[in-house]
Amino acid sequence: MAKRCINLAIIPKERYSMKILEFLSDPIIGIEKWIVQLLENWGVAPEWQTFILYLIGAAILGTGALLFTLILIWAERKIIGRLQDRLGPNRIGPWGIFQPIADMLKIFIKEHIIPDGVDPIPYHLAPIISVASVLLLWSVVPFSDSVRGSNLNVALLFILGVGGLGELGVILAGWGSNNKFSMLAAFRASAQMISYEVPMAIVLLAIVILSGSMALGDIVKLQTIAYIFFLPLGAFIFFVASIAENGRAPFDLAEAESELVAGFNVEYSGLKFGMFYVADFLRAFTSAVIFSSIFLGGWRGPGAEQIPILGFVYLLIKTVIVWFLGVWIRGSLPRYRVDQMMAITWKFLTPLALALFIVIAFVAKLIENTNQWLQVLIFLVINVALFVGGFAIVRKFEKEKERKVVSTKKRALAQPTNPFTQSETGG
Amino acid sequence: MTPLQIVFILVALVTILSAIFVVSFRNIFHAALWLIVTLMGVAIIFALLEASFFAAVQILVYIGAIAIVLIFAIMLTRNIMSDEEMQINRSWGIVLLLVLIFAVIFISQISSSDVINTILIPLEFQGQESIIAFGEGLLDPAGYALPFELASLLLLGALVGGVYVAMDKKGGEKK
Repeated sequence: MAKRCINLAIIPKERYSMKILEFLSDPIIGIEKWIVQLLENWGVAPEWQTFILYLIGAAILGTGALLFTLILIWAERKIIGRLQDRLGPNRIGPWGIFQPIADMLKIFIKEHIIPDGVDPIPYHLAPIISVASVLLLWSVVPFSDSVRGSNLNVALLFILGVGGLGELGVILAGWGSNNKFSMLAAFRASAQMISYEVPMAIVLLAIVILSGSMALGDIVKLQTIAYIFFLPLGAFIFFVASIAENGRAPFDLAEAESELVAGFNVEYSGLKFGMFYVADFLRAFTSAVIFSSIFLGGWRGPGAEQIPILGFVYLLIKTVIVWFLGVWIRGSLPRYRVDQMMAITWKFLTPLALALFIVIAFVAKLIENTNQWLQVLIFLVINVALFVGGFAIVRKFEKEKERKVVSTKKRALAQPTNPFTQSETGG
Repeated sequence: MTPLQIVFILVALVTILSAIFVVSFRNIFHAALWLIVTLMGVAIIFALLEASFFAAVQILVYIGAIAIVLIFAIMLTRNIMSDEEMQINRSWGIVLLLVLIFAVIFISQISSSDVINTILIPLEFQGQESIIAFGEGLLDPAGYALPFELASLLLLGALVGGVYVAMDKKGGEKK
């Protein structure tokens, strides 16, 4: 009798814990089901149910991405600070972690100056377009096997097209603010973005050939071996092009302070400048998300298909690695000149991407039915050969210039506060 | 009324209004901006019709490339930015009358034909299939291979012509 009682007591409890585990393994789908149930009980028509669900999802995704930028800004400033031998933000909160919140409050209450003679519609529309073009990209990113905005069947085209809307924001900002410097910077920036879209699009074509699909969800799902092993050269081209597309160092000549004051957004102040700022930081992270979805297998990882929540973690880890690489490059490399920037894409990246695309198109058809590891090996060899060949050709026509060696004396380093290594020079 | 219908009505209104603004605004730069709104509206209508490929290409090609080039051309051309340009000339009244007459005739004639009265049915394609079917249609000799290739020849001709116009005519002369 007693045994039976215990059994009866245990079974529901186990079921309960099973349910909790099930919910925790995929919380977003669980919440979605709950909302659908709720709406059904309220007597909402099915098409309105989907509409409301998409609305909620879009609102959460957009707000979440924008709030996430706060952490990104802090982390990036901290990392750049370390790379440049500074401490970075360190006053507000532990390690200065609340610095972006203070910055945000400051930007909210700052005076908003509208300069004389601006063209009102372009001037006010530009920051909104800048932010929207970045946020729209999040709608096609698969976060796990089940959670994504949409498995759009033309996601790659969508990424290129919507990413291109950022150019529009730049041009409108440059034109609208009635300032010659911002106008020049806008021309530079949009020329740069248009140019670097070309190699990016060609590499994406090669990806379409490999995967046979343009939907980002399918592309991630097909990557039992991540595409970076198939197309390391393509990944390299895509990465460089995405840095240039974001206008970050070493391709940040659109906001070269010494030549163009501060780029296309000189005349913006207060919240409007803040929107450009947020768009800039978020775009870097977004392109890291897209890079890791296309080349590193997105949410894929051990156990991610059974426990979808793990997919988020894997995607986040991969993205942060790629993003950190971008920040590292930003902190380490000096800026290119305009002609060098143009030469890199038109004389190096674009021909290389075209050659890669043509070779991949032929070879992928030839070795369609062979073992996947053999395919990886063949593609790897092709990529390395093309890369070496490309560099050899560039080297051959390069004219060496004599340059003076510029260096400074050794100086004391700023170091993080570390309880284990108390040193004289810092911390 | 479903949400899709509401979205369609809103987008259609915005598209038509902005298309009218394109031809009626005196500042040519603003006209170009309204053209972008129109193209975006058409892209959204493509998306509502589940023609996602056309929606993406509309944004990529028409807004991302053509509209930007248009804006560049306007910005780099001197003396067309002033507000003095008139979008209409003296004979606008008679033109409006003629257009209205033609519109009435055309609509009354066309609305009775079979093409207009066809009921649209959704395609049975899932995911990638629609794009694959589209690609095969373009490259299939029994499909639209010839017009497709002719269009690409036309574009190639335009490209070569553009290069020729932009080329330095005294190419043999050393600087």
